[in-house]
Amino acid sequence: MLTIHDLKVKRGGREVVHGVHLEVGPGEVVALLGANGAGKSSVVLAIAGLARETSGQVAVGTKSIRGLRPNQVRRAGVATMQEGHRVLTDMSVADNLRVASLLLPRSERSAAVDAMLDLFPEMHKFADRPAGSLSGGQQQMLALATAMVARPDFLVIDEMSLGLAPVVVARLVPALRDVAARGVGILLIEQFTRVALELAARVTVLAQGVVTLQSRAAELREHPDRLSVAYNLTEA
Amino acid sequence: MNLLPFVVAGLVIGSVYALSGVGVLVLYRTTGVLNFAHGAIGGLAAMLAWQFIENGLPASAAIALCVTIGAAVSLVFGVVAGPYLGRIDELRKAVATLGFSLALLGLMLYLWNDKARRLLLPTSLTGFSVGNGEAHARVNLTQLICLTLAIVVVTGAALALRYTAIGTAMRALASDRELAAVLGTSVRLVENAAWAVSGAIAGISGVLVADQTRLEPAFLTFLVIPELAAVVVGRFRSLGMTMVAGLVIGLVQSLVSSQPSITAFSTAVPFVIATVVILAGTRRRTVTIGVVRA
Repeated sequence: MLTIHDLKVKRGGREVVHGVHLEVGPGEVVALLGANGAGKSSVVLAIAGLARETSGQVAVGTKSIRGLRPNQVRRAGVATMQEGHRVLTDMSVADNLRVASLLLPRSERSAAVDAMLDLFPEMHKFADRPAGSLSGGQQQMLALATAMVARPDFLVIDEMSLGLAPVVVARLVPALRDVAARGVGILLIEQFTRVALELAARVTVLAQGVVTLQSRAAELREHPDRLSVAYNLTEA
Repeated sequence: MNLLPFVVAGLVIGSVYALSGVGVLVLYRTTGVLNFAHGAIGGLAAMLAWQFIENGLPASAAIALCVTIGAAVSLVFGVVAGPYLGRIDELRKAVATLGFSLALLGLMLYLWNDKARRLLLPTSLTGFSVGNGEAHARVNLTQLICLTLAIVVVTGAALALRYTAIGTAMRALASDRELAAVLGTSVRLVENAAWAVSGAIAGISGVLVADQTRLEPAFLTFLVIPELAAVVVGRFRSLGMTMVAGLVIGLVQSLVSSQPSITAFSTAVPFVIATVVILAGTRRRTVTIGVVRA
């Protein structure tokens, strides 16, 4: 279980997340929604070990990961896909996967890289190309494959669909379902609700750094009006 | 005039520039630190090697010890200063190493004074002649080692960066440090490895150049200038270009110093070559854009 309890995050000395509670179980997809600037990305940075000023609790099982360095967070089993389909642009696709595979024992590395190339067959023909030359959608696919190489227990995805064509998102959705089916818990951060409600079992909405709604995704699919209220806390 | 001895000497010193340039480049790409203390670390290793040999230690043991000390000094600076250097911009990182360089120079002057000495390695006593008639020169074993070592280290570095785990992690840090860390790369561990490798290269370079030219703390400390020029010509990226640039700088410097009328300008050679290459590169880019527009 990935547990986030009373998480507060400061950026530039100003508190932008004011006590968030979240739980993601194995194989579960939880969506964290909210408008631009609601504090979603700050939550991601705090989990990934990239935000310095945090308080509260972030734990995998009983092991606290708050305050750890990014590589230690990854070693604890939590992989993060950062915003903007971020990849190692001047390294080849295969090298991107190789870098991520270094967490595994030496004997398992090349098999793990091959397994990801098999899982995303479109990556095969780009294996030797610089990751920077791929399209945004291909880079997001590579980012997902890279995050998955060393078999994380949890996957945190910041703005998966932002800037991507709908056809690309349509390809990513089943890939994520497949990842969850393997037992990986996913925390999906999205500005756009449709994709998130399609994938997630539970939804948490953040507005101005506070949780304004926690609900089952199925209920929100039936009552989308609740979402818009939660998105605009101050105007509600 | 017989220029061959100058060609040999130039290629030899150039190969040491190339060797050192590769050390500077690997560290810069991995950590973002342009290490102005590279020459001083080499100087310290050379001074210690001289001292150990004076005290009766066999040359091979003294060199091995000093390469290790070079690696250790560089590593300690990396471990102590690395976490702070990681948070500041590249210019201030470079200035911090300049401070370290001057501290090492001060230490050397305190321990040994500024007298020019000679570190004579046993390998410099054996050699062979090349050329005949007007153009001839003597090549000793140390000079051959310099040339061979430069080629071996450049090739080895290229292969290691391509195929080993630590090399792959170094390239990842050079590409995107934050993402590399998020993917699980231990930034500190990889950076420390780069500091150690670069320090070892500085150490062996210092010992070799002290044998080939002179053993003098300030001279060895400021050898970092032509080494940096080689890295600049290699555009802070290319191992191969850095090596070629090191050789060319050494060669031109030596040929300039062979002509009494311009010998005083030999120290300007690295700047001139680096400037010409930068200007040529800039011009070529402009032309390329013009073609695309047409």
